[in-house]
Amino acid sequence: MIKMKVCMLGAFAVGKTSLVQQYVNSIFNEKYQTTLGVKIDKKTVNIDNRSIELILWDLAGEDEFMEVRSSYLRGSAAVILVADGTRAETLDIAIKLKNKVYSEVGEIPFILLVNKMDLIENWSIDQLTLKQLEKEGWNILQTSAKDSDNVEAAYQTLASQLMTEL
Amino acid sequence: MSKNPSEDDTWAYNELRQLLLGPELKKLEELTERLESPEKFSSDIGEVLPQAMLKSAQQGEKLTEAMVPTVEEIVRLSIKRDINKFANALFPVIGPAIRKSISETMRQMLQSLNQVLEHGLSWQGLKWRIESIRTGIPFAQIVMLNSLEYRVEQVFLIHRKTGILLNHVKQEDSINHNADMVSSMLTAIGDFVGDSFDVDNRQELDSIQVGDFSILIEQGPGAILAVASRGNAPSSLRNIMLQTMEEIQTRLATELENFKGDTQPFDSCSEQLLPCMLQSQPGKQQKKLPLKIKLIWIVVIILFFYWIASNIYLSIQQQDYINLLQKEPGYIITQLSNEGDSISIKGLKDPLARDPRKFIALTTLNPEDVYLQFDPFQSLDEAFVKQRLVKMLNLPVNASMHLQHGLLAIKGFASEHKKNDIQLIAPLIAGIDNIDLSGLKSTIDLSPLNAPDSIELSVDINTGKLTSKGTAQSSWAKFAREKIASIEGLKSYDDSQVKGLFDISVFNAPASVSMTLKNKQLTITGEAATDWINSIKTVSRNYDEINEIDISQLQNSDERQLSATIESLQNEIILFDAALSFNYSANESFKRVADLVRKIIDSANKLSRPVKILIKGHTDSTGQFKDNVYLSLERADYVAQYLFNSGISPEYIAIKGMDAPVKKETSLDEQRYNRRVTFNVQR
Ligand SMILES: Nc1nc2c(ncn2[C@@H]2O[C@H](COP(=O)(O)OP(=O)(O)OP(=O)(O)O)[C@@H](O)[C@H]2O)c(=O)[nH]1
Ligand SMILES: [Mg+2]
Repeated sequence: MIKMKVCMLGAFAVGKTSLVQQYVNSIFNEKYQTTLGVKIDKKTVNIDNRSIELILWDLAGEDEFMEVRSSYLRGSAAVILVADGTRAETLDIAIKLKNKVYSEVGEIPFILLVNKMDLIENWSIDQLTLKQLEKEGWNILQTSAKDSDNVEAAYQTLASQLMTEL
Repeated sequence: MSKNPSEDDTWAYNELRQLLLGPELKKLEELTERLESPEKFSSDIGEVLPQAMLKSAQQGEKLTEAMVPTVEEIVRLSIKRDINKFANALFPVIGPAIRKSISETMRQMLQSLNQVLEHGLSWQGLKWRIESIRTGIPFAQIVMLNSLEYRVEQVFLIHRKTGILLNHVKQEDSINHNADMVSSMLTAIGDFVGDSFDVDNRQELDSIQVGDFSILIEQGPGAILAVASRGNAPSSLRNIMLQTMEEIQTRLATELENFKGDTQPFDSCSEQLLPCMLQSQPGKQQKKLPLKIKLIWIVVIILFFYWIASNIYLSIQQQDYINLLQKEPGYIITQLSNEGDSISIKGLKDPLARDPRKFIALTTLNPEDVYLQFDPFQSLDEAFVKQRLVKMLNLPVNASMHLQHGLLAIKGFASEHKKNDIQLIAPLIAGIDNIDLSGLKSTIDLSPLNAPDSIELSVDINTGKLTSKGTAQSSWAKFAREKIASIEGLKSYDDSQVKGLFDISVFNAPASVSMTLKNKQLTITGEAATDWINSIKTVSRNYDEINEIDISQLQNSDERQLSATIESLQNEIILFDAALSFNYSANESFKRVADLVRKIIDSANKLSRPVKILIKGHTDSTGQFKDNVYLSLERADYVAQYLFNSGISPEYIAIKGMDAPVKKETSLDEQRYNRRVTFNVQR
């Protein structure tokens, strides 16, 4: 069995927990309950008759006062960065987090999820910025934990990326 | 160049060699130089050595093995040369190592101490102490063995860096939601604690305890071993964990180092993890009994104790009964047997002994549970011997017997015939060894009665009854009656057939009286009280010897006394002051008068005579007649009132106011004398 540790990273209230919940349990909760410390879930992904078990570390949201504990990142096979499309600053945080991961864990695969696609008319992140990042080699998906848009795809993409590295 | 051909040849040869092998030769020379110059050679090897060692390490442990002796020698030499250098180098390692070792030891010690304390004083502890004495195993060890009620539920082998579960073993029935998540969470917790509390980075999460559930964590360089157990885990578990950790760490060091997510190489660890699955031995495990079974046990135990207690009680009661029978005269118990609740008693019983069934009531035994079987026998108990004596001898009431130590002594009176009977029968009765009849008399001495010839005395010596017949003076009859009591052997006296001869002393006359009886006429002279006079009148009629009674010369003393009292009263005078109808100064006279009046009334009543006391009031001759009459009456009335007040009934009193002075007045003194009250008794 292949098991991989994957960390969910991003500013607070961007929808990390919601994404994991939608992916693992197909549940969405409108109510915001902030994550304290870390919450762990797992899900097995099957790709081309191979299966890989993702151990999902849903970390508490990042803000200016609360730094992600680097010890939680240790041993991660990949990270999922999450930003909230309606809050531009969450993208900056995602970029900073990516750099932190690179410096502390190494250049491991990552994917950026810009969440809350269902509220796209309220988005403050413009598509150009995202295009720019993609050009720099970022793997970006626009998701909605609420409508389950691209959620499955996001994890699937990451899993296959991990597969190729094996 | 050289002159001879050989020289030429050599030169040529050299030339050729130079031509053919020039570059190679140069290289060869250089190589030789390299090999031969230690400086160059060592720098060459220095260049390849690290790489060579790395390669060798990858291929196997040959190099390591080869180097062991050298390294050991190096260490030895280094220590020999300068021990301080080595100590300094080891210092950072040794400190924590020792600390860890000491704290682990302390923890184990405390744990066992706690258990010893906890169990040392309990009932369980007592049992274990006995077990310890019996088996010779130290007590502390026994406590440890018995008190380890625990079970390892699950064992996790976790990759340290990623928190990914590498292997996992668990009890079949233990509940596990998700071992993968648990293992990640455990590492996260470890990280969290480490980060949050800024603990020394060499110290790591060691255990998590929730109630009696605990997770022991053993951290290795590449892996974490977590053991989840319920109950009081033995301290030995720690050692087992450490050992397991070391084994896995050494065996799979590379795999742990290079772990990329594939857990397959660690599947083989299951076997190594199994020794951690400790649990208290099922036999010693104290399973909590279900409440129902507990209750049943309690009831069974209570019933058992009740049964024992009631049995003890029953046997005490039975023993009490047996004791009662044994104490009771006339019983010999020869055989006892118990059958369940009932008891059977066999033995001998004197027919005179009391009913054995009566004693059952003194105990709480059920009469139906007591089987009695007694054969008759004669008990030599004195009580029974006496009973038999009484029955057989039919001893006269006038005799008494005394039995002691087989000696029968009979005292009192019995006829000669009876005496003979006793002498014959008594020795035949079991329990009588000797007979003493010296105190048994067959005659009663009646001489103290001094009976006249006209009296015939007969006595039944067996009953002590004396009968007298004939005639005698009444005084003798009286004397005899009194005398009987002092004669030994007499129990009763019958003189109903004695005819009394008259004797005036029967009248019990007072000394002031003298009587003469002549020709059946009794003349009584002198003085006697009314009562006596009355009694003699009636009593004398009962005597044939008296036909007439003459009391004409017999004075009645009561009559005489009454006359005397009346005379005293009539001599009393109570004087009054002029014109006053009251008198406060003549108290003495008033009292005396009242006494006399009372006496008169009493005596008159005794003699059944009517009596009336007339109180007469007088005045002096001064004043008007009408007033004087009135004043006289008032004075008489004043005295009468006094008498009534002192308890004298008005029916005996009459008053009268006199209209004329008692005497003619010639002086004041005579006048004073006339103001008086006087008394007159009418009968
Ligand atoms: N409309 C919409 N709301 C979303 C979406 N995803 C999350 N939310 C809401 O956003 C809020 C925050 O979601 P969480 O999943 O708790 O966010 P988080 O990143 O886990 O937050 P922290 O744990 O505090 O870091 C919740 O009220 C969610 O209901 C989405 O795709 N669309
Ligand atoms: Mg959350």
